[in-house]
Amino acid sequence: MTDPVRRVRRTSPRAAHRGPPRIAPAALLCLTSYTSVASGAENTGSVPGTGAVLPPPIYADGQGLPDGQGIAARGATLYRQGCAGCHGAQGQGGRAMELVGEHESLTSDWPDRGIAALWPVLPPLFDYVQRAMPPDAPGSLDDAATWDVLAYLLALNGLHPADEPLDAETLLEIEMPNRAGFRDVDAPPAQRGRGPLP
Amino acid sequence: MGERDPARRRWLRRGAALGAGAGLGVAGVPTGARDLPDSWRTPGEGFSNYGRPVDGGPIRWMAVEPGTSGTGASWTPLHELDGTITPNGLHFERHHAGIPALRADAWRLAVEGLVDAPLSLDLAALRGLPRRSAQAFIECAGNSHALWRPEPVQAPVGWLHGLVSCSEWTGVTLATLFERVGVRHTARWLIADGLDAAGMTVSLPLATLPDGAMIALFQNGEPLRAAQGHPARLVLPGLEGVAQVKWLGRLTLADRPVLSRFDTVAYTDLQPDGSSRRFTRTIGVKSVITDPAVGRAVAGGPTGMTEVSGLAWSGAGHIVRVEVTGDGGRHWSDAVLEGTPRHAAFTRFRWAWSSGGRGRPGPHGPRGPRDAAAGPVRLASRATDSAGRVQPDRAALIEEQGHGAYYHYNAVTAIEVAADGRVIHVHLDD
Repeated sequence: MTDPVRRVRRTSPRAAHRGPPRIAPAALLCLTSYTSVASGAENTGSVPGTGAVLPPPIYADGQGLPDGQGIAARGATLYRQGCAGCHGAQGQGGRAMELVGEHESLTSDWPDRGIAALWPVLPPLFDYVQRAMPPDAPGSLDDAATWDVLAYLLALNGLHPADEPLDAETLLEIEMPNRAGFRDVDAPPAQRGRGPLP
Repeated sequence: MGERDPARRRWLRRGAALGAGAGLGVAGVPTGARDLPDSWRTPGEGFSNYGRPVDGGPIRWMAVEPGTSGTGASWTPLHELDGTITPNGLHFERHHAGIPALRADAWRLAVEGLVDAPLSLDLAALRGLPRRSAQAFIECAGNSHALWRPEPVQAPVGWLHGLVSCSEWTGVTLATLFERVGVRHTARWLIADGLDAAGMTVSLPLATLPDGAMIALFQNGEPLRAAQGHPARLVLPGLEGVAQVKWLGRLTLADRPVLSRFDTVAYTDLQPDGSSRRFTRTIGVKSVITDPAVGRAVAGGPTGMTEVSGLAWSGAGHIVRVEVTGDGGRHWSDAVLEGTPRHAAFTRFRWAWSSGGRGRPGPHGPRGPRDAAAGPVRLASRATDSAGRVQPDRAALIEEQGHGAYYHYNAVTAIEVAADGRVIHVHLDD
């Protein structure tokens, strides 16, 4: 978020006091209907495959990454159509955050932090782009399109050659420059340094 | 009652008799004879199925990201409220992709991963499990972020510090749920997915889940509102707000983290050495004075003040002490803590200003108006929690973390009450 103080937008008291929809008088007996809703209690049990609706998590170490191959040139087209309006034509930022910035030196007063600085590992970036981007059409990118966009973003950042396809294997080979730049405050000592936590 | 009441019939007859005289209204009721409040003469409004706040009452301040309808935040007007419970309609909100429209009857919560018996719970099933209630504040890690900047920001307390609210939450504890599914000993992380369009996933080390962690279904007694995560959200008392995933859709027990955008890109704090603090999940000890408050002048200036009050909270325990200074930090003395301070909940503190040192004297006593006279006075509060953490001075926090951090600001906040009663924010180290 940018500075909220500069973006004051206050509701009118009227709007703020507009309550939830009025409930029909019959709902004075809402406690009764409420109880009946809960009557399915204890009707639980193991339901395998319950995650079918949601794609599996994509972990820091790449587990869960879908198959596919990204081509930066195709990603460039998608980027111009759906991303550049907010992130800038070259990922320099705009209404939304910059995607291309410094790789390592983050000690200046206001360092440019893009993908290279902010993402210690890349697999969850796939998940985020696919689920949340673009904000006006989240979830609209299929696996192939997401791989293409990632290939372009990583090429923009100099993290992956633009003329080489990107897939799960090559994604995991990319050494993120700021991988060691995060200090975990609340992760218990036993988990620090374990596997995927850089 | 009504016409069968003999006393009422007698009164009506007397009224009819008087009707022949002067000063009677059309209905035969005497008017103008006495100077009564209008509300004594007019029957009031009827009932409503759901009440509404008082007209002209406190409202939230909102900031919406350009080009979106529901991405941004709204702030609790802390400076217009009292006590410790935030009304549901004034609880702060921070949404990363608006409020999703979820049908409660189609909603399911999946609990899976490294468990013996994966579950898919509908709302009825979840409500059928044993529930617990507890008060807990929720604070967005970005609360008070404007104070990282060198200049004190002149905005009302709520608009600066109002990304924090406190409610009584009721739901099913994660302990209960974990017992049902049988968490395997290899599990180290809890991965929580929200059903909003923000790509919301957080990774939570199991070992750092707080006591009382729950899947909340009720807030202050009523079913969760859509804006608070209906049908169900995580409530993790004491942890930063982003971890308390709203519109919860899936809990995955795992042996590794996701390191999602919300684990690393956002909610991490850049330090002067170029590193970033990550997994700063536990909210630091903090307090703010809510009265007097910026934006509301003190009638009569400092000499017109009687009491200084505010809120204190900590994610690491309960509040054990709040000190207040009335002289810019030279002397501090203890405020009275109302009620029994609770773990990870708001504590209201009050400090008698007008007592001139006699109200609740600390080592030095408050330097009250008799000493300070009409000149500008600088007030600040400093909280200590049961874990022994003391709210840092601003200079100490900046010295340690610089100005590059954005989240997790919890330094002492100071205000100045001018002779004419105007209140401004100041940095004590200025």
